[in-house]
Amino acid sequence: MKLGNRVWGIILCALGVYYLIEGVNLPPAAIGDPLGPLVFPSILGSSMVACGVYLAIRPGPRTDQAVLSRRTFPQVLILFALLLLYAAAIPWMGYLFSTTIFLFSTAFLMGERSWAKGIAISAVFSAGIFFLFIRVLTIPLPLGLLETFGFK
Amino acid sequence: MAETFQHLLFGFSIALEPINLLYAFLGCLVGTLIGVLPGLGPAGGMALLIPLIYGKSPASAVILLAGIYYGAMYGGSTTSILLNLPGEAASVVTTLDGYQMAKKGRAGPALCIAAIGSFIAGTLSVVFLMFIGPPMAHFALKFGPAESFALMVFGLSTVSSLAGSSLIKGAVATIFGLMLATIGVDLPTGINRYIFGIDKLMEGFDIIVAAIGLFAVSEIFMALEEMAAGTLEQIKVSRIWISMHDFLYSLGAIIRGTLLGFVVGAIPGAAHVTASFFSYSLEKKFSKNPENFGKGEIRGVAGPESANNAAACGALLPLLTLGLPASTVTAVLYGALLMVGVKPSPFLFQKNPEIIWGLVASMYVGNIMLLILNLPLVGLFVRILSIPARWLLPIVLVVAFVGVYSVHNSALDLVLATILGMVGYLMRKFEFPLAPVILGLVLGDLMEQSARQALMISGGNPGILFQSAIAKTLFVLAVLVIIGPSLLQRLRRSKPGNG
Repeated sequence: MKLGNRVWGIILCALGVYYLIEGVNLPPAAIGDPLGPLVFPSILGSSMVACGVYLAIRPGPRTDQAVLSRRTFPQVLILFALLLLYAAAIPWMGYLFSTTIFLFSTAFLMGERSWAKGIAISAVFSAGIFFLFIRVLTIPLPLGLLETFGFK
Repeated sequence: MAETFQHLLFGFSIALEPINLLYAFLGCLVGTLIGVLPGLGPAGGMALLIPLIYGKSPASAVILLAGIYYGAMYGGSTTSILLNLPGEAASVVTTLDGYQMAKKGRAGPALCIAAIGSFIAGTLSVVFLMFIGPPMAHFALKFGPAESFALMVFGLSTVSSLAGSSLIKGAVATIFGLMLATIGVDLPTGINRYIFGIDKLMEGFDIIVAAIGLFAVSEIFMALEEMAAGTLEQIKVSRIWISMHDFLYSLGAIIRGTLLGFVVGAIPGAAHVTASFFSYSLEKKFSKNPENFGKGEIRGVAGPESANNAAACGALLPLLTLGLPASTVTAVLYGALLMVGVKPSPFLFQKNPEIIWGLVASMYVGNIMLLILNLPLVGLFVRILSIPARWLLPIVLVVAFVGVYSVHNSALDLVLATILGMVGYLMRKFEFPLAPVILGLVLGDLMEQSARQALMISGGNPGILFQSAIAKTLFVLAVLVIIGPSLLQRLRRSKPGNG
């Protein structure tokens, strides 16, 4: 996929306009607050639009190299999805289990081929990190399923 | 002078008591651990460990907490250099050249110079703290909203040294960062801005969430891609220790970073993050080879790391001399002092000399301890890089997620960091620089708030922003930072035979 600076210019313009529209309902200046919450965002939105227009008009030299490769980009998307799933799983499944599963699946995505080794490293590492952070450093990570099983 | 010396001796008699030595050691150790762990910055770490100080004497409590403080500032650089994973906000700058050094097999020297730079900066700033502390504190108090605004504008001017090939893309990245800074509740009015109906966003966009997403997560996307294409190379480690030549070459950067960091650290509100950005910009702008920056220039690690640690020390100034906590970390320290029955005030020096001088002396001790603790660890840390990438990368993600989660105890931050990881990946792919986003996010809030406060004071007259000498100087400096290097080049060219 090729995406030139021209396309980026248009995307950035859209971002700027969207940002401006989203901020339009903010109250303007009030007595005692001469700038108000609106002025700064308006400046930002307009500057973003200006930068976008500039990039669209003068995109600079075009690179012929495909930036996002059809062969590798899907892998990146898979990891992206895995991370989102992991983030969603942590609150209810708890850090320990979700981390074990995430470590295992990501290592597989990255080329680990031994099931036994994969499961062993994931489980041991998750347990270790869980112990260090939750027990020793008392960071309140969610216990999730562990709590349902009566673990405190 | 002689009096200060006597006080210092008195301080050492307290700091060198075995029990206090133990506390300093424990503080440094735990602090280093906290610094290495991404997300949990010095303030969070100290707050977490406050229960430890119950029932201790005030001097011991302060020594322990201060140990955690500078241990954390020290430790933050390790993961930045090795894994492009900023341990805390101030180490974002360290990733720029530190990680590049690691990629070239120079992780050892990078870690060494970070430790040595921090040691020199820490030691020098304690000397500053003792001798020019009180007058400096009064200078720092002159920073009203207008001066803060000028400082932030000056900060933005340093973007020109962070932007890569295209200035316009640097500008886009900065504006994006400033936009992220507007997310959350607007303090003067209490109105929510850009929270898109998500209540959790009211707290705003945390710098560390953005830094981990943009730098660490996107780095792993990049690495995965190289892995899939079969071009990922295992990082080789050529040498662990730093050469004398590298050290002497970095010494100037360390001294400059220290001076800059100490001054910026003492200014209320300006975080150490700003200090490290300033130092990086200074080193790059006035380097003879600015093109080496971003590709593993050792001065790009030495300067910001020193500035960072000097700023940590400078931030103690307003607290110790005036009894005012001027940053989140010193606010935690303030609370801790209250807990052990000491009321910080301008009279702390007279009323509780054992705390102040014990603390000052313990900082000397702590700095040496940190150096002894950290230099041997360099070899161990560097070995992390020999873990196979298919395991190292997932583990980095998992540890980074702990850090991100611990910021607000919210899974939403994890989603945000992931999304920013994708944004960062795309930005890298299309050659938008990443560091300006963080700079914008750091400066944005304070910049807007100080401009508004200043105009509230003046009743809407923008003239107030340019009135004071400090503000004027800063605006002039901002212009100089942008046009200075090209002027310097012209000067050099006009003198033949000189560079």
